[in-house]
Amino acid sequence: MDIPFSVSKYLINFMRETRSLAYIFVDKDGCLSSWGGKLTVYGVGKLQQGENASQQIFFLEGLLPLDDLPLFLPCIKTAYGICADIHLFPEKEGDWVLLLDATWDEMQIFKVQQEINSSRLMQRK
Amino acid sequence: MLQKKICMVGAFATGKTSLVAKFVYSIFSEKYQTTVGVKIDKKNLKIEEQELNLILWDLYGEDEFQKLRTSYLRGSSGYLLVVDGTRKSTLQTAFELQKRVEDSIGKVPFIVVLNKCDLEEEWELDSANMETIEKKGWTVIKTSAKTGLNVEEIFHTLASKILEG
Repeated sequence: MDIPFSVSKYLINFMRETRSLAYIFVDKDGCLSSWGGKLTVYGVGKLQQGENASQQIFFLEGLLPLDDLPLFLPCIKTAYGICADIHLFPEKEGDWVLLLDATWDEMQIFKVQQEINSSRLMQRK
Repeated sequence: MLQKKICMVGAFATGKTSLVAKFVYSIFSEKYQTTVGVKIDKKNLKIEEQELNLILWDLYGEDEFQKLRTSYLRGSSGYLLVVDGTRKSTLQTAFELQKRVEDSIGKVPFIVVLNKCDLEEEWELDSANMETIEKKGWTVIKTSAKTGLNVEEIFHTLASKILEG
């Protein structure tokens, strides 16, 4: 599908502003190659190019390198407190890691799930 | 620094989050709060002079509406299979989850954690249940996130098993 440049530009700006778009590129040796966007929102900072990625961003431990398939990990929360949807997809030179703020989704799911689980625990009693 | 990812797996409200909170932050809350998605924490351990960072993935509890998303398990070196000793049904869920985890990431070290052993008067697991687990040859440890009983033990034991390969 061809998407006009104006549309993709609008979508990227929308993601950047409303969902704190951030990205990381990790080479096939597991070293950090490049990064950008609102990474500090997710507690990721002080990164060093060429150094091991999972030693610097601990939630990447075990995930990379990808096989040939993309990976979607919804609602990942670190001690920093922000919930992120993490999308990982491979490229010839390495793997892309995209982070999107999922706090709103998490809050909505939490409300429903908390009510369901609490009522089931109450019914048992 | 050596790092290993481990996952907390089990039915909802078995105490997975409480075990992690006790282990990492030395805190316990009576208030039940469901986990959405995954909560990730890190804890440094020393196992026989070997320093190790455990990356703890606390997965949402499984129920009939929310099945385990196996993509979360990728790259996991081991897992804790958590059962609520006061709810027999959570043992059956653990058996089913163990099979699905193994189908997804293969045979990696794991421990069956029988949590909430401070609630002795509400305990539902009986000797027949224990026998069923033991017959499988699995390592079983009783814990209480509330009192802290064996909380350090489960993480250290799993880490040792992982390092033994």
